[in-house]
Amino acid sequence: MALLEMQNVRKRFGGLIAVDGMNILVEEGKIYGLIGPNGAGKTTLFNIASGFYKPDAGEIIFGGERVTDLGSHERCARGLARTFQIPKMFPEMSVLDNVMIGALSRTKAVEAARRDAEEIVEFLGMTGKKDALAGSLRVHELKRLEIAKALATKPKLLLLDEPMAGMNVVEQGRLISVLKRVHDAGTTLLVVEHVMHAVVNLCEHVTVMNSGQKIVEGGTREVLANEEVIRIYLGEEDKC
Amino acid sequence: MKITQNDALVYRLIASGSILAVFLIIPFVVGNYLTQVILFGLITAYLCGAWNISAGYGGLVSFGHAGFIGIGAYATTIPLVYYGLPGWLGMLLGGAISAVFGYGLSWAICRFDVKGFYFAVSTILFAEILMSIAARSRYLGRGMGVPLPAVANAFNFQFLGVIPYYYMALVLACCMILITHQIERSRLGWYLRATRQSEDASSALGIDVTMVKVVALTLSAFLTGVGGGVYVLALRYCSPYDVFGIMFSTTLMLGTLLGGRGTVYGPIIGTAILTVVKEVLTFTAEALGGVSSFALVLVGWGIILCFVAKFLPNGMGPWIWNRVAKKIAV
Repeated sequence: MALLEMQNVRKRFGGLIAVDGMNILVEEGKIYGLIGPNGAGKTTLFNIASGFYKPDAGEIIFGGERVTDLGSHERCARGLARTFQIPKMFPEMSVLDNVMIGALSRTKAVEAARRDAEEIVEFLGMTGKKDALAGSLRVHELKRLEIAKALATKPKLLLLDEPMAGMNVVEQGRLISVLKRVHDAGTTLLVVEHVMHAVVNLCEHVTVMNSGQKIVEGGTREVLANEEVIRIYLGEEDKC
Repeated sequence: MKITQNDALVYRLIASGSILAVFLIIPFVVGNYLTQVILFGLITAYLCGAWNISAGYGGLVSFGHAGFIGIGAYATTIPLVYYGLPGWLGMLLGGAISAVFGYGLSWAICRFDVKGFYFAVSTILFAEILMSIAARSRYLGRGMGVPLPAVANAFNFQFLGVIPYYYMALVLACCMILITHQIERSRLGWYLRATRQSEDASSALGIDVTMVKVVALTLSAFLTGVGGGVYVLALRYCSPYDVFGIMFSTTLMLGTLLGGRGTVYGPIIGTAILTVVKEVLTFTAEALGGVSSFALVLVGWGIILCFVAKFLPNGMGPWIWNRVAKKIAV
């Protein structure tokens, strides 16, 4: 069943058309990838999906409900959560407290939120660091915290904005396992990503974007073997 | 020396109780002048606490909170002097009108995305505009303001002596501690801290940032307005340059930042320091003869502010607490 639908979404910034009639369909229970070269409009589309930008045209339907006019906090309440590419956390609070903010979206009681937060922190293997100040964490720990915070809001769909950015291959491998566990626990994922081995390892379905438009979509292996996709990423082959 | 959680609670209760007991008997132990100094110190501490809610916790650093003080002051004074409206009713009226202004202000800053520096400037304008209006209005007493009659009418909250006002101020300060404590441990308190540190992250986690700001500023405005009413009742004078003045706004900011913004006891500690320094320097200036006490106090407060900004940016309260907590290793 379709969890997220983006229909004919359009967005321009002055003279630049960032998203030009994009259609996306995310089905419940799968892991989707959204890839494309820099400047393709992926992040803009992502921000529209999560409610940080309003589209100039088009509709966003989440769980059968039209959410186009709803703000990001309202979408979060309905089960649509997101992470930020450059982690945005609460630097003066501990890791646990950061996650508690997410948990407080589901319960008013601070004690109950603390228990929920501790579970999530445990699930993501951060219990050892739970009292550390978020401002003191390293990049890969911050990435994990981003996911923990979003998970605490008990989302049906989690949008991840370039989760692999800024980490070495080992750390990326660990994050891929974490995301797989998150998916196995019942969350649908839509991942914007540049790191191809992550896309191949994680995503069953991939949509390719270029210049604000959908180029092709389908199963990951077929899409990545597609000639046009290769051309978009690697450029024209020189005929000498 | 390690003590348990329960022991810590007991020690805290004993400490609070003792301090409260001291404050209760002060009027009977020290003279009139000192009682008055502490009285106004308590009112200021209360007002710092009100500023702390929206600015310390919520990050809405208002430079013009005197706007709300003045509204509360005039809403108490004018109806009392012209129409005999009881002081306590005036206080509540002042709080309510301030709350309406606070609501309007917060709605406007969210709608037009007014943040940080621009927010600060707009609050300065807020207080200054109200001051200009009050200082030019014949009905409001023009630049001279309105004196409150020195009568004894307990129902109206008008007393001849200083002592009843002292206890009013003490009640206010205690209420502020309780209110701040409650907010801090409620979901609103968590959301205030989150909003201050990152609006985007907060929004992505389901926090309605607009709502948080509106609630914070409206609540703070209400409490400040009530404090403004008590202030003029105790002072027996409502002057526009005093109640709407930038000096009053600055005092609120200074006291809270000094003691520790975003903490329950910070405003009180900060105000205590400011008050002690002010009295000492005023006494010194008078003893020296040719020195303006106002100027000396400004210099003194300024030096303290620089010191705290450089070495104790979180305020003296957290610094003291860290030392104490280390010693007793809870």
